[in-house]
Amino acid sequence: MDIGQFLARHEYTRDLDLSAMEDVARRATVRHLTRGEVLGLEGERCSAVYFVMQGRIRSLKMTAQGREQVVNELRPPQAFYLVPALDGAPLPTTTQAGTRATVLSVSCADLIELLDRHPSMERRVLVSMARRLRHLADLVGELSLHTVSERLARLLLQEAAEPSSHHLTQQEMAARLGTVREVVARALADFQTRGWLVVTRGRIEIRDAHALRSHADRTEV
Amino acid sequence: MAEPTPRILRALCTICGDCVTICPVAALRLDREELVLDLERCAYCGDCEDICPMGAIELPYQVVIVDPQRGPER
Repeated sequence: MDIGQFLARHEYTRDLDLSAMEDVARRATVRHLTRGEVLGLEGERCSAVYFVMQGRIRSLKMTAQGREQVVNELRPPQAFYLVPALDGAPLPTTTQAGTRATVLSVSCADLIELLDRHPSMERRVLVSMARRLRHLADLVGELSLHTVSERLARLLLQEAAEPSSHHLTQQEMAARLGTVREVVARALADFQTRGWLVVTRGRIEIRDAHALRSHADRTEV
Repeated sequence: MAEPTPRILRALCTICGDCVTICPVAALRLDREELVLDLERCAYCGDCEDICPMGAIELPYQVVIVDPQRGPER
């Protein structure tokens, strides 16, 4: 997929007229990344906004213990570093290619100018950010009552109770819970250590549904 | 009910070979421009799912409740 095709489909730019689209394309650069390649470091000044064209980008944060933890995984056609580009504050996360990947980069200065020159693009970015803000507000509300571990327990019990031909991957479980696959994998490993379930090839066997249900129903106050 | 098996989404696969390289048990190979999975070898570790840049490999899980005394409820 080339820049033109990508922009013609992206929610921010697909409604632009030809000259506006060309304006965006002129200011955009395609970057091909190898797995592990770092795009930005947490705390640094923002230099560019990125759009994922292909592959997956991991968003990492440093924990209080000095470890890096994956907090999000970005897929096509998601954009990232919009917030620091707009508010001028440091990058909130480190981003690193989780697979070989291709991104479109637009400098922060060019992004601001594009939004000034093309009100329809500005409006689409605003709507997208408003949607993301609503999703995060809902998630904060849910997380204030239940941890990811408790919500995973509830999800597993729901999956066991409602037969479906579509079996979830760990990635899909993570997406439903607003987290990343690594967190789901750790929670499953924790449940297995407690003896509540066993994870085998393609199967999660719940051995102690009562304990899992008690865990799911815990509410943080 | 049969266990789920890894799904290869052929429409998304670009035959990049990253999954073949990363598989710790050599369960994947490229055969005449097609990705082939050896189910017997596959350890269901998820490394291929993680590394695929196109999201073309999925490892689904069937969730069941098992009563240790009576066996699976479904």
